[in-house]
Amino acid sequence: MADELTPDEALDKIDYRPRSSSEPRNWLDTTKSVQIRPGMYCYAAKPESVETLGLPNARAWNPTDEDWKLPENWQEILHNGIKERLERFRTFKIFMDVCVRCGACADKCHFFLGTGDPKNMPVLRAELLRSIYRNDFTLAGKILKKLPGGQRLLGARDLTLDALKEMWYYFFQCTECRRCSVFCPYGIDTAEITIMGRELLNLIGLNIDWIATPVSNCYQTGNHLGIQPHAFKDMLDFFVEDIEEITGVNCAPQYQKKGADILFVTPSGDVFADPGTYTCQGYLILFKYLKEKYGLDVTWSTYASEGGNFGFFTSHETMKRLNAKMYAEARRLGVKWILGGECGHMWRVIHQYMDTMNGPADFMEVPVNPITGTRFDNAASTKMVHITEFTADLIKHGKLELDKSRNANRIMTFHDSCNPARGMGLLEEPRYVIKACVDQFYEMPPNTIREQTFCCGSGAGLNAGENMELRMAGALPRANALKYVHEKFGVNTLGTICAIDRAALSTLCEYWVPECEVAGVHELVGNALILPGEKERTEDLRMEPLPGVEEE
Amino acid sequence: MNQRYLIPLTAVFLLFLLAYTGVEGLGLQVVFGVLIPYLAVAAFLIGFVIKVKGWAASAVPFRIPTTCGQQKSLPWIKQNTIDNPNTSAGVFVRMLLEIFAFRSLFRNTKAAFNRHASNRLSYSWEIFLWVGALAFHYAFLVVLLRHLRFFTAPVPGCIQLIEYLDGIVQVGLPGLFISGPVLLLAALFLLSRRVLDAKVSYISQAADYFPLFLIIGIAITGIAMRYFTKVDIIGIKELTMGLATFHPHIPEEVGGLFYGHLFLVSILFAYFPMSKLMHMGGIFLSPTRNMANNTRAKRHVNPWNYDVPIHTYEQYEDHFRDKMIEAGLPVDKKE
Amino acid sequence: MKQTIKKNRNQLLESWFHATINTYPEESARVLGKKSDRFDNPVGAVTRESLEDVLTLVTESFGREGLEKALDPVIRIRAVQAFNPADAVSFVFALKEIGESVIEKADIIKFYRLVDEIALAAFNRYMKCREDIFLLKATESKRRIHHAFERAGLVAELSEGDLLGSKKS
Repeated sequence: MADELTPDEALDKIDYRPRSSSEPRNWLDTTKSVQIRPGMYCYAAKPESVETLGLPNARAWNPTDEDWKLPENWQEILHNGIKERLERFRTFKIFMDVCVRCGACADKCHFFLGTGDPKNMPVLRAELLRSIYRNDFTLAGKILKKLPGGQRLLGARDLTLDALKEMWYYFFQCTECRRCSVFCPYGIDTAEITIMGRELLNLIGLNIDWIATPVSNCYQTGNHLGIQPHAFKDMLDFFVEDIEEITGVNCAPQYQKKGADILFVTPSGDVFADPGTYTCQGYLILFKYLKEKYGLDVTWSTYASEGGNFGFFTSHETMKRLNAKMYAEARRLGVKWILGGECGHMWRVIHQYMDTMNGPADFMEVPVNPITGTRFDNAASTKMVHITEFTADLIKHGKLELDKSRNANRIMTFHDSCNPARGMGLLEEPRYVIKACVDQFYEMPPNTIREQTFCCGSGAGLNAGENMELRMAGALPRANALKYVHEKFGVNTLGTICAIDRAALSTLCEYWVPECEVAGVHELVGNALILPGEKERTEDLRMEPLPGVEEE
Repeated sequence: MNQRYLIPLTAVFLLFLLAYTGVEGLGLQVVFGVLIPYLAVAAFLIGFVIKVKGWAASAVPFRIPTTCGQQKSLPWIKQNTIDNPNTSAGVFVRMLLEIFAFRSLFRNTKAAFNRHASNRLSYSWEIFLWVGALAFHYAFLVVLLRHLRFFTAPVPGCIQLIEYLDGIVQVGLPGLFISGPVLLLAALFLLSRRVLDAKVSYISQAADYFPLFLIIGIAITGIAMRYFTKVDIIGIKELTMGLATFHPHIPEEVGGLFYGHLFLVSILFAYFPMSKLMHMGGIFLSPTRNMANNTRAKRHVNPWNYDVPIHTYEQYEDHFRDKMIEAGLPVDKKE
Repeated sequence: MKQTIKKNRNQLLESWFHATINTYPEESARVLGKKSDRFDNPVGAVTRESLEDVLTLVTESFGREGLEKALDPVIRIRAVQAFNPADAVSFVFALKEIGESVIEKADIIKFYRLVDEIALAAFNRYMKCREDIFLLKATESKRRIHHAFERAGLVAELSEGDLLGSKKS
C-alpha cells in the first residue's frame, strides 16, 4: 500500500492537529474549552496586597478552581465599568468600534508567534472584550441578541463566567508592548485594550500577585520590592564599597538633599537585582564624575525610590497613586528638575501620563544641563529627562572622558525596550551612548528593532516565576534575532535600557542563547568613564578582569 | 459548511430577490425607488453623525500616540517628523499618509531572509493585503464619485474628468470604466483571504462577510446594467434626479435589476453606521495616530482628572523615622 | 537506506515539516508554516532548520549526542508551548509514515529503528529542556535578589553555584 502513496498523499492522511474536527470552528464557541494551563498563568493576588490600596474584593482565590469567589453582582460591576470607560476613553470606544479584522496584526505578537495559540493574535485578544461590547452596548447587538443565532451573526456573546475566565487568562498573556499597534491601519492599540481589560478585572478583584504585591509594597515603602529606607541605603553602600575597591574612588550618593539641582529616580530593580545593580553602579560613577568635575548636585530619595510603576498594569488610578511620589518629592526637596534612570514602562508613564495625571510641575524649572547649557525643550513641561538623553548630550559636548578599551570584551547589540520605542521614540540616544563606550556594535535584523522591536516576553507585570513557559515562549522572537547576531557577528552582550529587560532577558539568554549576557547602558558608561583620581582599574564592575589584564 | 459566510451570502441574495420581485411582480417601484433610498440615506446620515458625535463625546484623557520613529529630543539627533511627529503639521502628514496611503498596513511588507542570513531578499505576501485594500478603497471612491453624474445636471467638470480618466483604456462599448472590475476583483480578493487563509478565517465573523458580499452584489449588478443588459439610462437619470431634487418620479421603462442594485446600495448605506465600516470615520479620530508626541513638552489636560489618595512623605517618615535616623538619612522631624 | 534518504531529502523534509507544523492549531499553522521570514516567524524557521539538520545528520555517521544537538532548537521551543510531553515529541514518529512511501521495503525495519533512535534523542532533549525551565524557575528569583541579601548577611544557604551545579553535571 505504501507503494501506491506519494509522500504528500501519505501526509494528507496524518492528522496531528490536537483539535478534533468535531470541535466548533468559531472561536466564540470554544470559550469553554479554554484551559488555564500551569506555566502560562500567574498566581492570584494575595488578599493582603489588595487590601493595602483598598481595592475591591480582597480574598484568597485560585485561578484553577471552579469558583473564583466573585462578588454576587460581578456582571453588573463589569457592565458599569465598561460603560464608564467608554465615556472616559475615546481610545477604548473607537477601538471597540472600528476594527475590521483585516488580520494585519495577527502575526505581529510575540506571544502568538511563540506559543502558536490563535487566541494570542492581538485582534482576537481584543475581540474577547469586543464580543461583550457588541452584545451589550451596540444597537445591533441589542436587537440581534433577541433573534435566534443573532449573536453569532454579529460575533457577540454574553458575559458568562467562562468568557470572564478566558479574558483573564489572555489579558495576562499580553505585555502591552504595542507592536501590533504599529501595523494596524487604524492604530488600534492592544495595550490600551489590555489596560482597560485589566482595569475591569481589578474591579472584581482579579489581579495577579506579581503585580498586586509590588504595587502594595511601592505604595507603602516607596518601591516594588518593599525595601525599607535603611536597607535601600545599605544596598547603595555596598555598591559604593565595590566601586571603591575597583576604582579607588568613593562614589557615595546623597539622599533626600533639599536644594539639590537634580532628583534622580530609577527602578528599584537596579538597586536589588543583578545585572541591574551594575547599571546602578554606573549611575553612581557618573554622578560622582559630574560632581567632581562640574559640581553637579544630584540627590537620590528613599521615598521616591521606585521609577517603575506596576500600578500601570493595574489601573489608571493606581498608576497615578504610585506616580504621585515623584513630583511630591521633587517639590519637597526643591530640586530644579528630575532625571530618570533606565526603565521601560516607567518611561511610558512619565512621557505619556505623568504630567497629565500629577502635574503641572510648575514648581520646577525647564530642564537645562548646567554642564553643556543644553535646554531640554522636549521635557519643558514634564521636567523630567531620560538619563540616556542626558548622557548623550554630555558625550556629544565632549564632557566625559571615556576609555572604550575597558569594554573591549563586549561585542554589543541593542534591544529596544517596547515602551521607550513605541511610547516615546527613544531610539538613537542609547545607541549613541553605547557606541561611545564600546567599539563593536551590531544591530539585530531591522524587523526586530526600533519601532518593530520584539518584547522580552515578560513586561507588564508578567515576569513571575510560575509562568516561565509563557515567558520563554514569548521571548522566542527576540531570542531568535539575538541568536542570529550572536552566530553571525559573535555578539556576546545585549544592551538594554529597561530594568525588567535586564532581569527577563538574562533568563531569556540562559534558556535560548546561553552565550550572551545582558548589560544596562550605564554599566558600560561606568566601566569606560575615567574618574578623577582613580587608580588603575584591573576589574570591571562585575569584578571580572578587564580585557587585556589577564595576559599581562 | 461555514455559517459565517453562507448566511451573509444568502442574505444578500435574498435581499436582491426581494427588490427584484417586489418591483417586477408586485409593482412596488415607489417603495424600492423612493421610500427606501430616502430612509437609507437618512439612516446613514443620522447614524454616522450619532456615531461620530458619540466618539467625540468621549474624553481623550491621555496623549498616547504610538511612536514609530525617533522622537524629537536633542537638536543633533534627527527626528522622524512623520512617524513620530511633535507638531500638528507632522501629525497632518502622518494622517494624510495613513488615510490616503494606508501607511501602517504598508509596514506589513517586510524583508525576508533565508536560512543562513543571506543577501537574498524577498517580500512576503502581505503586500497583497495593502495592494488589495488600496485598490478596493480607491476603486470604490471613483465608482462613488462617478455616480454623482446621476444626481447632478449639468454634470460638473471634475466628475467628467474622473470619468475620462477612469475610462482611459478605451475598450468596449459602452467604454470600460476600469474602477468597476477593479472594485469587484479587489472585493473578491479580500473575500478569498477571509475564506482561504486559516488565520483570517478564524477571526472573521458574519459581520465581516456581509459587507463584502453586499459590495460584490452591488458591483455585479452595476456592471451587469452597464455592459450587459444595457438598462434605460435616461429613465434612471430621471429617477435619480427626482430623488436629488425632492421631486420623486418613477419612470416606466426601468426594470427590476436596477431596483435590486439600488436596494443593495440602500442597505449598505443604512448598515454603514452600525457596522465596522465606520472605520472610515474612526481613522480620523484614532488617538494613537492623530496626536503629536509632545507630552513632555506641552502639558495635556485630562478633563476628568480627579484626586486620589496617596502615601505622603509625612506618612512615610512617620512610619520609618527611627530606622531612617539610625541609617543616617535626613528627616524632617527629629522625633 | 542512507542513500535513499539523501536522494529524497527535500521531499522528506517538506512532508515532515508540514506534519510537525500541523501539530499546531490550524489557524496558527497557517502562519507558522510560512517559509518566508526567519525573524517574523521563528517557530517555523527554527523547526524547518532543525528537521533539516536531523535529516542531514542521519545520512552521515552520527551518535545520540549529535542527534540531540540537532534536535535541540525545535525541542526547546516545543518544551515551552502548550504540548504535553507525548505531543511535544510526537512529530518524530510522523517520519515513520512519511518514510514508508520512500524507503524500500527491505530497509523499512532499519528505518523504523532510526526513527526510534531520533525519538529517544528527542525525549532526552525534551527532559533536559524541562529541567532547564524548572531550574530557571528555581534560580531566577534567587539570582534576582539573593546576591543582594547575601551581601547584606541576611541569608546563609545554598549559593547559586550550588543550585546550578546540577545543571552542569
